[in-house]
Amino acid sequence: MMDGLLDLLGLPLLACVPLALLLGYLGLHVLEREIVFIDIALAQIVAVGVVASEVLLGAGAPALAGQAFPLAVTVLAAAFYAVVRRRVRALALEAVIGISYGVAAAAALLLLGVAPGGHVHVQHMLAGSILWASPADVGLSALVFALVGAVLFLCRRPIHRISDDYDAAVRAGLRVVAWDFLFYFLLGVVVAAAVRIAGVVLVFAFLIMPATLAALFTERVGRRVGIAWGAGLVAAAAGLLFAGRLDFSVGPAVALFLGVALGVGALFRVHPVAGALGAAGVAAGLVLLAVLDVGPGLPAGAQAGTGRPPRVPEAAAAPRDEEARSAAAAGRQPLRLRPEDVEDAEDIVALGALFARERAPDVRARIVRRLLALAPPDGIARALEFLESDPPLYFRQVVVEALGAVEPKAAGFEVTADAGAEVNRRTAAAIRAGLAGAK
Amino acid sequence: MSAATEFFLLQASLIAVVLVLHTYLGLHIIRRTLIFSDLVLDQLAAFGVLVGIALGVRHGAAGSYALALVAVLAGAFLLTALRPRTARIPREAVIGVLYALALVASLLAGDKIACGTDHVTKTLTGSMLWATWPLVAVTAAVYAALAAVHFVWRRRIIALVGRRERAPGDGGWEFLFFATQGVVTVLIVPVAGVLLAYAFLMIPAGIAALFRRDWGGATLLGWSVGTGACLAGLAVSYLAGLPYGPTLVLALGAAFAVALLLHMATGRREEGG
Repeated sequence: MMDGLLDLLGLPLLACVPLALLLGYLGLHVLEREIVFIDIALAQIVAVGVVASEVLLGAGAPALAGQAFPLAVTVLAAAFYAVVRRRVRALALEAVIGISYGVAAAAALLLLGVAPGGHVHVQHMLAGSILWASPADVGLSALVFALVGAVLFLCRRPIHRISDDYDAAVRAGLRVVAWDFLFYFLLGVVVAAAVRIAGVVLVFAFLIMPATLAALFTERVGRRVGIAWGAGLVAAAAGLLFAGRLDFSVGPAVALFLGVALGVGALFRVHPVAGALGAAGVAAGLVLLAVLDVGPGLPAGAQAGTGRPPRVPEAAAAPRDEEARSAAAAGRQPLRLRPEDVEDAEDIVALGALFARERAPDVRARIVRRLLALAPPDGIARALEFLESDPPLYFRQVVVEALGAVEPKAAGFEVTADAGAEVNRRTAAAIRAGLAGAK
Repeated sequence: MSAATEFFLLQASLIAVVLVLHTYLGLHIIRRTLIFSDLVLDQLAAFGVLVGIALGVRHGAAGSYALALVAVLAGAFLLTALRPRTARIPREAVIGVLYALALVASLLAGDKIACGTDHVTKTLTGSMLWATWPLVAVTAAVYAALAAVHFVWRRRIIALVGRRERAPGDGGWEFLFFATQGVVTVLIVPVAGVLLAYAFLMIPAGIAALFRRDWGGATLLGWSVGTGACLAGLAVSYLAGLPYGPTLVLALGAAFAVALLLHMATGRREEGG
């Protein structure tokens, strides 16, 4: 069983090491500068770049072209933050960063509305897919992290001075805007690379929690780095164990244990005995998990026959995609229809199955339109089912329009009212009656 | 009145009502740099709804609202109670940690609920299904009551701004502040979605804080610019057939960008200050 454990946790743990080291260090600066939001905002801005490049260039664009957009928006964001910090005194930089996060998230949502398979990205961005980190992924990000780490080490003095006291650095004649630009740009590169393998939640946790824990205990930078690194690595191992044994998503589980470490640290500050008891309790629980084989020890979604409807854990989206891609590469037909193939699908049964499985309104609306074109009676039934799930207005409009092309009675739908409204219920019933009559 | 006009009016009035209180609360949040507090409460409300789904309570039912309310009141308590004792740790960091843990709780709960991830995504983006007249009335009533409370005790709550140490009795006022924010969140998020609710709170207040140091004038400025931007966003979303939530946030964001440029162009005197 220990072999299995190593298989399950070995590579993800290896992927966590550079994350814990680099993010733990950057977290100290982030805390000093009071820009807690920066990671989430940068991740969201990079995501806009990724989605924009997919929308404009198509998903099959060469990898290098695909990186150009995210890189360009990272440069823009870094310049924006560096200039705003210098020129805007009426607002804390944190507030501007927080607002830029909201705007970037809205832009991403708007773009995802027009991008095929967009919803998968939302889940991916949140939870990450560290369990499926490939050795190539880990290698590439390790390279990026090493480069960034080297630059940070070389430029550590000015960056530390600015983090310590911005105004003093300005008075001393330091070129703060240029150094800030470098800092935010490096942070953006690290966040972009890290979010790809670990997801926003985990990256945020790695950035903030170990640094906060370290700040609880000491003011000296060297010691803080040591504490942050140690806590990050221990929490990563604990979280992976927890997720593997009890069948939870990995990213959030590691983030949970980073939080637990911080909680235990805070208990220590309240009273050493309380802290020791808390640490002992957590350690005992983890040893139990490691020794006893309580969980299934399988990736999420592998148990069957539990009587629940099949769930779709976010992590499972990743292997499904991988599976389909490798099947396509080998010239085989994928076993199941993928959301991006809806427009080319001929198989009504497969489309129906995807409709039943899929929850994202954009994909469901596309399936309905395809079914309406292929087999009107099926399509009409699905369209009604879709409308009754009260999808967002935009998708309601799309589907009612498509439905109207084959079923004149659809003109009776009031798209701005919800499905339960009297007029919509009557229209749906009339269309259903027509369908039954035709049979 | 055509259906489209009525729909437009409905949304416009809801936004105008909602923005008064949001701008004022947002000013507090921005002036005290508690930017993350709103996301904490949003996420906890979503967690409450998720727990409801696990217990078999339908999203949008009264029980679901009640659970969300319990979750945000607990959140308001935590936001009040958990303050770093050392100046080395900004309060925003503690709030950020709370946010991460609330999000983690939602994601882990989502792992164990049938179709949980759909619900998680849904609570994040909101259903963007806009309101009915009764909802506008209820929202207006609750908002008016909260605004009255804040008006009567405005001095006590404004006194919290800029205070590093906590004076005796501050805890209660702070809890009142976060609880108000929580109640507002529970009401608005199912209608507008997390993102738009967050933008309502932050962006008009952010614009106002760039130009005004007082409270009344800043609220008025933020409210008028915010409402104007939202109406423009509504018109664009209606004419171009774009989803409401993101379009409104982007319209507000554009207004903020203009305000920021205006501020930088005119604010040279403050440099180095």
